[in-house]
Amino acid sequence: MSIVVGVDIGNSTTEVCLASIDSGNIIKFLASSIIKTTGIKGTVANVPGIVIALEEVLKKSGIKMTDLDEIRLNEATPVIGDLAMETITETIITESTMIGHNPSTPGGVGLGVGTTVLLSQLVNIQGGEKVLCVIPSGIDFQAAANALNEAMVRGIDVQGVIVKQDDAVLIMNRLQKTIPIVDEVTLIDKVPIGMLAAVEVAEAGQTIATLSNPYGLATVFKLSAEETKMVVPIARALIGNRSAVVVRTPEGDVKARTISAGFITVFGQRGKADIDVDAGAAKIMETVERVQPVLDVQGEAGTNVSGMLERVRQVMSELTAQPLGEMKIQDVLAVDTFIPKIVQGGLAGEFALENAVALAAMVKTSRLPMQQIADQLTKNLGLRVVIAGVEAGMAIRGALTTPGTAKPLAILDMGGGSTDAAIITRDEQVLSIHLAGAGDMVTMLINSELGLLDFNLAEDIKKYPLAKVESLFHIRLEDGTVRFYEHHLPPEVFSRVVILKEGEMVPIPTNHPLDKIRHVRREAKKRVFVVNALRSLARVAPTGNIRHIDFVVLVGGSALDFEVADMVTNALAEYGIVCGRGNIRGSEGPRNAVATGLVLSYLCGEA
Amino acid sequence: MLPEGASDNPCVLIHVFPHTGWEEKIREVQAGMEEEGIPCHVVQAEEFDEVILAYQGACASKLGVGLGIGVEGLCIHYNKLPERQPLFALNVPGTPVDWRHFGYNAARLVKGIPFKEEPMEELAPKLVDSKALYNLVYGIVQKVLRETGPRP
Repeated sequence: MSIVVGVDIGNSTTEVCLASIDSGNIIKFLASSIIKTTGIKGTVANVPGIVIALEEVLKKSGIKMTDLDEIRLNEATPVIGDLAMETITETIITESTMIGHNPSTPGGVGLGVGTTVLLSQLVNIQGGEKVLCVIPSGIDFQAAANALNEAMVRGIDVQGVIVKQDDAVLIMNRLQKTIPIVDEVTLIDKVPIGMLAAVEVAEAGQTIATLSNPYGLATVFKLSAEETKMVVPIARALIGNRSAVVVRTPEGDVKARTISAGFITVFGQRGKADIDVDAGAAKIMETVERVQPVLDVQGEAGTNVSGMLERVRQVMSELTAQPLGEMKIQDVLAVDTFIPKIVQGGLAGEFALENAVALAAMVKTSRLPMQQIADQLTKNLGLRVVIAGVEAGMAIRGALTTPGTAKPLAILDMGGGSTDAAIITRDEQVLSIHLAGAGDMVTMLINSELGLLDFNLAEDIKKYPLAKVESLFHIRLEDGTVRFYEHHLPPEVFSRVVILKEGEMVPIPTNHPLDKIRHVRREAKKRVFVVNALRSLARVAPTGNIRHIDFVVLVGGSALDFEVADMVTNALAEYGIVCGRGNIRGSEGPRNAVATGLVLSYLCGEA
Repeated sequence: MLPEGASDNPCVLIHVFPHTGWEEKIREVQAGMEEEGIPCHVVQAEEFDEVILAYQGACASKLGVGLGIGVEGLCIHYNKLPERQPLFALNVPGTPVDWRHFGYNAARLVKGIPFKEEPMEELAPKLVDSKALYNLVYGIVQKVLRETGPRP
């Protein structure tokens, strides 16, 4: 009897499968384990992780390290992916200002137009003038209201108020007549004084109508047709707000300009093509598909795109100790997205959604230094270590242990950095492909579209379902069901959208409603995982037609995701394909495919 | 202890133990609730512990929310909580900004919207996109290394 262990080093996890083999045929799977990969996949830094995983599996099965006959490593696919995001529009508001934020409690209602004046200067204003009063911090609401009332009595037409503290309702309740008041304006010192301005507050539950309308702004500020064109970005940035302030300064200049993001050149077997990144994701992907298989992709020198593509090459070249010139980018995935960017000229930290293109790129080289890992392992453990075949082939072998599968069978492994697909035909031919764009890209899209600036939070949003905390004692889950708690929930999560992460609740510190966050999450997954599933299967399908694949098994980390597998299953059902999460050996779920395949390959004497 | 009928209308009950400077606290707390648009009613009580005061208020309030102002601190309580586990408690006299926030948050408990963060928030440094910064530094270091690195 011999004891063999298969070790699969992946980008994020190292998986091990331990089995005993008798008279070259009968196998008993003894145990499996999974731990986090140490270091970058395919480097000697993986060795400590492998040893830990081995120790764990040995402990589970009660076998000593010295009893092992052979360690079988996979020939890890030398694939690395990287991501970049390129803004293609930018809103700049220079010399002109606006406040378009949503304080939770603005005061009054209506539209006010007048010249901005500080509260302390109200005494110097003549009766009959139309003014907008600016109240800096440190002024009590009662004092402010008294001063405003006094001014109104003197005949000054106070049209509206802009205040720094959260005092709008308090001041409004103490005034003689109803005027719009916008509060919580952080950068109140930057509001220009002595300028024509407009303040608008909508009824609770409604949004402003005049300042978010270009013609409304034109009416208020008496703009010409030319000038009206210029204020479109302001109007656009204010859509959906309950309150807003727009100040017009003489040199006011606003423009939405399109930044040239540069072009990329795709070299394919069927010729090369240039495409502007500005053209958007659809056009880029069209170009890639037209010339595929892709041999290399280059960016216009001096642009962000080229910087990003160079970075991928650089990392891969260092990893494999091969010259930079030999690093070829073999796939890109482009996705249209948007980035909330702080509006220049905004006074309360407003964001405008700028269009952007997210790009994932993938480099593949001839070989990773697996032999070094094998040598190191032999040296450390004194055991025979064999590099046994290509990852894709091993994964298929393992996937075939899923009950209910048969050849021809395709597997889809959607990991963090790349989407891998492989197919085995009836006559044992294995074909595999690697495409750019997977889990990390989904995280990047969630991070930017929700304006989180927090990669770990975005990662959690991707991985776990959401809930809304509705009271101190109950939460409502995404599907509308309610969960009750006997002990009250911490105040930090009260009324917030939370991530249900392994028994704890992580509040999401934004004002996005649950539906919005859920929508962004699901759309990001569809635009990356579903698109790549179809793209990769079309490439490995023997005829180039997805319909000719009967069985697809999802393996790897993303198959464990709570919704990706269902999305892909749904999308592939349209093509009459049986697709689902793998269940390796009928017990392991979508995990351990490669490690199991490595053990199985021992039987066939594959080295 | 409280004039019956005062709490007939749904409102947050502020139970206060009269002491030096309590009027200022009441003013800010009331201002906080007024800004949020939730009615409140002040009741003078004999008790001086802010948690017990708040709990009495919560139990008497039709909204189930009470705010206690004692000599030593402030407390927000909810009638569905155990008496000794208040929602928010401040066991120092605090500043006007703190008092205002207790008003906001008592009202927000009724409204069912997220509580207002502690006052210092706007002074906190702006978030820096550390990944972008890392990439920038990484890129520059790589460039320098490339240009100054292996020379023939």
